[in-house]
Amino acid sequence: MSSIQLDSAAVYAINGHVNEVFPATCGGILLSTAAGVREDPEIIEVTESFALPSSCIENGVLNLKSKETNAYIKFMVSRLAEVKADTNIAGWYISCSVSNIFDAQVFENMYAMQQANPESFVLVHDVALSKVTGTLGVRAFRLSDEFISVRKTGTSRITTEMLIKHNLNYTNLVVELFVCTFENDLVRQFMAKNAPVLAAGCLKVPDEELLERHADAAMVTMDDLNYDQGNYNYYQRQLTREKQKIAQWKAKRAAENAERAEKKQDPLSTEEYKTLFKLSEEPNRLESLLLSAQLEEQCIQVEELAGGTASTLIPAKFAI
Amino acid sequence: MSKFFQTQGPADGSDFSSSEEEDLYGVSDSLSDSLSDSLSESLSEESDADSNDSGDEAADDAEEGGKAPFTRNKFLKGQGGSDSEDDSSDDERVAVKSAKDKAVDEANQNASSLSEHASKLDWISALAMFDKLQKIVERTNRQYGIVPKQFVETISSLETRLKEKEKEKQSASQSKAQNTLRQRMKKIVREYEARLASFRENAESYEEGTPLVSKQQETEKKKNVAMSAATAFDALNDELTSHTVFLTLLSVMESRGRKNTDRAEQAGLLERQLAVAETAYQKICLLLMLIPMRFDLISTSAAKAYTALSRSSNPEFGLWQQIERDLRELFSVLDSNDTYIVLDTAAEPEDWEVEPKANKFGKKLIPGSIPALVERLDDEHARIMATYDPHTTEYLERLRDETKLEELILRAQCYQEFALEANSIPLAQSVVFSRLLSRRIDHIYYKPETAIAATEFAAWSQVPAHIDSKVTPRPENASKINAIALIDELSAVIYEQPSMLLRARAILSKIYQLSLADEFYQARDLMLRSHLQSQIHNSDSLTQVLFNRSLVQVGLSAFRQGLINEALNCLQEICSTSRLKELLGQAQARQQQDQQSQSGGQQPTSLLLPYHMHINLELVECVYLTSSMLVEVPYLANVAGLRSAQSDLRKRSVNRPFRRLLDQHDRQIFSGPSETTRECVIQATKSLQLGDWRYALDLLNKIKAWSLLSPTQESRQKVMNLIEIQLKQSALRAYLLSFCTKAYDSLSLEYIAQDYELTEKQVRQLLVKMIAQDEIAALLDETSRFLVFKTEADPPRAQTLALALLEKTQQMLDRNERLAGDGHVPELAQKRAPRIRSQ
Repeated sequence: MSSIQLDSAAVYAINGHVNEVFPATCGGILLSTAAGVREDPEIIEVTESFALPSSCIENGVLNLKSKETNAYIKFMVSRLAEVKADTNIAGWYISCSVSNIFDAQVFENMYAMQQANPESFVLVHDVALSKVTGTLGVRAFRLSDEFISVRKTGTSRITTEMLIKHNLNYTNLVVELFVCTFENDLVRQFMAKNAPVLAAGCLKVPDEELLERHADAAMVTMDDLNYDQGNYNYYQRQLTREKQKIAQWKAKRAAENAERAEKKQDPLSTEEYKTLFKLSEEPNRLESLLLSAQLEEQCIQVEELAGGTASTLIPAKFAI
Repeated sequence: MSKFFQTQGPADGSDFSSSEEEDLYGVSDSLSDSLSDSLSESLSEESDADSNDSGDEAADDAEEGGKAPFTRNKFLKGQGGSDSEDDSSDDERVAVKSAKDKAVDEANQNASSLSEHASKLDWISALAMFDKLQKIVERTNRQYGIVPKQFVETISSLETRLKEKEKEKQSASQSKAQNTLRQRMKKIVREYEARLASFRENAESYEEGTPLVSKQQETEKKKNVAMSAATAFDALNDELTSHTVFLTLLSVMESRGRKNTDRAEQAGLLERQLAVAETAYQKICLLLMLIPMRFDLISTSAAKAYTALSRSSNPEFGLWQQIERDLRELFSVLDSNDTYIVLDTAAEPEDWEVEPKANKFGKKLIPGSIPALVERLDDEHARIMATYDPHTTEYLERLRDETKLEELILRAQCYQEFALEANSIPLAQSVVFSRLLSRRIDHIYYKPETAIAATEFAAWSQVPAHIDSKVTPRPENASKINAIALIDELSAVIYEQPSMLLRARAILSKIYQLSLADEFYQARDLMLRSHLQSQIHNSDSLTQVLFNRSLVQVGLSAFRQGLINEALNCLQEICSTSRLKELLGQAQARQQQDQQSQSGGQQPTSLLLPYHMHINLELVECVYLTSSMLVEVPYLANVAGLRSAQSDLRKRSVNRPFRRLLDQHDRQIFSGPSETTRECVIQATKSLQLGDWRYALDLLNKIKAWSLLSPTQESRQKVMNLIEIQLKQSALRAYLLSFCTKAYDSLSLEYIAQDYELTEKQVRQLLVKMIAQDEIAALLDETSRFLVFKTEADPPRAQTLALALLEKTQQMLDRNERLAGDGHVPELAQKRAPRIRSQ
């Protein structure tokens, strides 16, 4: 398992970019030294980064697969090569809440990147969280082997069977990578500038606004998940019904065949039902997986934000 | 046709001109109409004169009935004979003697023409003639009991003629007519068989009037027999002695219940016989016969005639007094001869003349029921009371008889007790005795204790000194009588007997009395412990009425204690219907009224209580509305307030009738000064809602019904003081709920106490309660004695979000469970499927 080492310059550049456009989403490309020349093959050292223009953002999500973006990246890499900078594309960054990466588009991006470079990763910079805690809220993720193997089957539709076969569930969609950086006066200064004034009073939730936003988001996710599950329940009912019909048909056919055997006639085909009945198609499980993972992430966020306060509330409650 | 004549009076008959009849008789021109009018008028005059002559009432009646047809027929005959000549009609008039004779003449004429037709073998006209004749004869037979000789003769000859000509050939229509005639003949012959036979035997001596035994004659015969019996009595009257006692008794006994006996006369006879009776046994027997006889008299119209000479204005009442006297006499006879015992279980003697033999206790038993007689007397009294207008002085005077009744019931009770003990029968075994006790309770339960003590003592003082009762011992003086103890003593026996009904009544009566004595908790406990609420629907309406009355009294007593909620609970159900009067047995149900007006008004007052037992409805309504007001005003304010959503009060059932009244008041464009109880309370409610308790109190004090709430001025004042405090508290609560939370930051307790004229302690109690019940968001500052209102903010967004999230999570959990249940194992899914669908 590789880990990520962020150079101060890269951190500075990324931080500057995301803070500039906050609260909008933005993204960029991370560059590292080539795999062959690394001191420690397990450590990916991000040395350079460049921002992608806002035109690459579609519906709040970075699109890395479009021609324009790829052209822009090529152009940027070639320019950087001119100044002898590292040109190996190690991954990409995005400024959003961690939960937002559980999105089909983001996953497609990651898949595409990992196809090109199996070591590529996505760096998620949660600006809102950084602002609250006064720290650098950066995490790195890469698609898990399980997901890759499922995705490699070629169809974009993921069925339950595949999930079981590849042992894929919402907790192992992605793997988180260790991120480290070196202290740099510049970074510290920058962070200090961004640090919020911490509110006094132990019973105050650190940032209500952020908490509320997360709660809201969690609710939306839950709604979506409920809807998705409703669909799935509908499918299940349909399936049960169909299977019942088939079982009935089979029983009837078996009885018919027995009758024919008595009359010494040729038995009828027992496989005919496959043309008669068509089992409804299982809905794509990917959506459900993503929503589950997203919800989990949101819950973790809420817990992290309010957990401290909640625990102080308990003694307060008993004191009353 | 005959029916028609009977229903038509003479006047109707004279201008009789129905087209149907005209056709029948071939009369068609208007001339004949006018003629018929003039003719019939003159004829009716004549017949009137006739009837005067005869002087016989029965004949007169019959004649009136027969006049109309007769006149017309007479006239028609003139018409039919020739072109209405004056002469002929004059002749007719001269010939007229009586309706009877005319009818006979007519019949005879018809008969002769019939035989003429028959001899000519003209069957068609013969048939028409025959029908006509038959009708006339039927009438004469019915009215006068006469069958004209010629009719019989004709019938007889016609019969033979028909038989002879049976085989002859004739035209189709003729033979058809002949056949019809033959059939009719058969019927007629059967009807008048006896007469035909007697006629054939001796045609010469046949008489028209010879008795054909009709019903009318039979009844006449009976009358004669009865008359002769009456004359026999008359004969007896002259020589009544003690020896004729049982003769008289037997004759009266035999005729009793028959239709035509003159009860008044027989009662008189018994009375006279009683005067000369010698032995106690004779007297007892005579009295036991005489008293029921008088009860019969009371209930028949004959009573009026019998007691016309009575001093009392109401004839029934005169009889009632007589019965009362008779009963007293019976008691005195029984008291002085205690070997004779009248008991309902005694066997009926075979021979009344022989005195019954003494049984093993040395007592001679005579069948009869003293309690039943007293009960009947009581019933009759109630019935008589019902006929008076309760606002007259006569009603009050009759009310005085209550004491006499109670005394008689008491004596009956003592006597029955003595009789049962003498034969060592347990008291509780005698249904009659229990009924009597129940009756006694009925007489006292609704009175205030002082009244009970007074009447009870008065009743005892009338009872001869040597008589005492074990069930209810003779009191030493009026002050020692305790109403509830008395009811308990009486109930003790009733509780032991098996009848559920009497037991229920005893319990309810006690509840009523307890409530009157302001023992609310005892009354309520008894009500709840007896579980009567659950069974009362199965009992008779009188007991249900008693239940309702008791319940209302419990409510009133709760109100007197200032227990507003309890009072409301008791009164709610009864008062919220529009049938309060009916439920309390003080008015008839509308449905019943309708039924009675259809069925002719039987038992109109049996379910109604006499006026002096009524519960004042004005008072009940007043108490109910006031209680509703005190409870409802703070509630309404609370509902309107902000915090209602969190309050448990919201779940409380709404007092709809009261709300309706309020709504009605609100809808009025102009509300005048309040006059009725209802208006007063509603106005008071309105002012309470605005916090103006002083005006509300003024309005409540205006209500006159309060004077009925409690017997003494003192206790009434006490109740009103309680109500005043409740009123202030309600007003304060409403005020705080509807205005203060919005207008004030804090309120001084001192100010509240001053403004509402309550003590600070009361104010504090109320406020603490309100705060505890989460009705107002406030704190009580004990040091500065201020009520400090909390400023209310909306709950933080995070909180609402958290709540919403919680809900969503629950939803998702359900979904997940379903998903797992319906999962990928088909068998499992099938098993679980129904459960899920039902969700």
